[in-house]
Amino acid sequence: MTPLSLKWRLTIPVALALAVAMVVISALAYANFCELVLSQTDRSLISVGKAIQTIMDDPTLVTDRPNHVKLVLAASADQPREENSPEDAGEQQLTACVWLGNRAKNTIEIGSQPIIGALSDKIRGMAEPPQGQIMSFDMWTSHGRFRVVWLSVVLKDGPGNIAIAQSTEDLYGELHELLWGIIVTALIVVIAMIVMSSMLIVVGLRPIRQTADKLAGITAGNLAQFDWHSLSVPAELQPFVKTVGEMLNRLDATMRQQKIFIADAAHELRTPIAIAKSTLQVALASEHSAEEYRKSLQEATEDMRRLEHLAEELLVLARLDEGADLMQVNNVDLAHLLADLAESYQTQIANAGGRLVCELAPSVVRGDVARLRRLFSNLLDNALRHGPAGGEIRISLRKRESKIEVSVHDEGGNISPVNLPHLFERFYRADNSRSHSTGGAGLGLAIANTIVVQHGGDIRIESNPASGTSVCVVLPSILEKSA
Amino acid sequence: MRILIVEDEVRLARNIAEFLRKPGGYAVDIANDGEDGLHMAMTNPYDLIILDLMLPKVDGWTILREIRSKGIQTAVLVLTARDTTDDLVRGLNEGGDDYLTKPFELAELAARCKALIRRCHGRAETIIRIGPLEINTSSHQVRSSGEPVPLHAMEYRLLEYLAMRCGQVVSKTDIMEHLYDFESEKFSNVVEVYISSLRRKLDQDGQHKPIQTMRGAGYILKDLPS
Repeated sequence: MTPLSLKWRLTIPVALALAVAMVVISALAYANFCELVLSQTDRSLISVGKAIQTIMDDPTLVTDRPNHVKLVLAASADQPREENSPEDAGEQQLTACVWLGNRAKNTIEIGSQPIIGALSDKIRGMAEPPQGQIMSFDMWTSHGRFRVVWLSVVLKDGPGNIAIAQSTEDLYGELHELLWGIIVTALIVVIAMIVMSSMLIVVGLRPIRQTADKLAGITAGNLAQFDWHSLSVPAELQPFVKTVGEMLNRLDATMRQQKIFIADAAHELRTPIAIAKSTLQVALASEHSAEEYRKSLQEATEDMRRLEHLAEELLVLARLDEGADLMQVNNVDLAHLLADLAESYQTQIANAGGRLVCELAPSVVRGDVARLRRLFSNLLDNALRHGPAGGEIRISLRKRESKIEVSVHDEGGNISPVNLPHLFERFYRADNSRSHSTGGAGLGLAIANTIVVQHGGDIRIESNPASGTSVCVVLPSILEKSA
Repeated sequence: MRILIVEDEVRLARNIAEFLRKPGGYAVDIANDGEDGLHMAMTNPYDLIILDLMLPKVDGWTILREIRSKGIQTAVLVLTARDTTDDLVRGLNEGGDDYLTKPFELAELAARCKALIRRCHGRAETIIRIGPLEINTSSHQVRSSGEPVPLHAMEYRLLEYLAMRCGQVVSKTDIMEHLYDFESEKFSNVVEVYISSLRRKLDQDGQHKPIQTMRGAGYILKDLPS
């Protein structure tokens, strides 16, 4: 099932909330209004009642009370409306029952007969209000709904009752019209709200669409062309666009690095091939002596060796780049590893007329034996290559607080300070050591650096003509890990 | 014709030089870094520069820019081991005339050198015809009125040089500078020796006198009626 669109997800709850609010407000307003209208009706009926009371109390009117009451009622009744039928007109008039003492006698009844009957029935079934009190209630008759006010009064002739009824059919008709008006208005408001909010959401989402359009044009080749600064997106979307922009920039940097690496690798691979090829082609181009042919073949073999070494280093680097997940991490006795490595280099160094000195404090680290071995053999290769012939190479392993420090020192000190920061970059070769007679494609230290980083360590190089060159590797000690 | 190779791979440079110096070929100088290369390109009249882009000290692009800004029109063949289009486009934009990606065939390099030098002298065809003379610059065969003329390597180089500048006076110094690289042993009268042997071989009956001496100025190969 496809998830509900954002438009509806936002519109439906808002519309529901608005509808509920409208219902509550309308109901309250309607109820209040009804009450207000009824209390007004009551008040006017009470004043009619008071007028009747005055008539009843007036000794001069004793003989003609019913007529006077009738006049009062007629004067107080609402004017019949034009559209009302004559039959209705009767109902507009007030109906009154006035009696002194006993209900059965001394009763003045004015109004249309069925209503008087209904009123009498109603009153008969009810308890009289306490003396001097007023009671008001609704009454349903075959002629519709009436409002009745019942006054219990004290007249000169004794206690009396005045009940006046007025039809409220028209009143309620108007109130119903009002109610319908409120309902229709509320419906219109809710519908208008739904239409407007869905339109606003479309407008509000437009920046996302624009961003998407911009992103659609982004390919691997133009990652950095997504200029998120230039997009005018609302504040709420800024973090999203910024994250995407930054992610693309990071990707771009990685891609660019990869491109440079591939171009460099191409250069490094093609150069020895070009040399070997040219050597062989020159040899084949014309007749040469056996000695010259041998020389050409030797040179070509040397080029092949260089290529082989480079291929090996590229493979190592590719495998290292596959990630630290493939590391086989164990406790490694570093002193043992270095002593073992030193032994395998001993003959080679001795043949070159040099010396290898080891100062190894027993230490254990967490790491991948094969990678650590590769790391230190790369450093020894470098020392052998760049140190002076017959010089001393010193490997020292020390514990320093929670760290283990291994340094490989040779007596060559000709690395210029300009080159020092770049030595761990892939394919970087200081100009003065560029000639391939010293071998190496500039990957040895890059590999060493990758391995050290994978082991959570740090590598640095110091070089000066007086003391020589030291490469220093700092690895976290195992104690730190177990602590 | 004299070529400068600017290439930091010593053996590659040496191999190219050896291949191009073959009998009938070119005088070739080598610079192993950008600084030397730039200096040599500025101070010697080369017919072609073979330029590696990745060089120590001064890179190939800088060399190109420098020599072009000094108005040196020498054809430049760019060598590169990087084959990304960016590198190539940049090499050509800075004033390179052609490029080759390493590794390459030496024969192809030689053919491109020849074509570039020819084009530099405004000639599209491989055979130069001057009157009864016919010089095939790719096979190094020379014919006079249809008859093959056997020439020594240096004689051929001299004739080709004069033929490329047919109708112009070339001084002895020009000839020396274009025919000899730094490694050649130079004798001041060697030009006269080759000129006279060329005259003898090209004009056995003494009718055309194709190469004339302009006293105090040098020599000229005149465009003869065929």
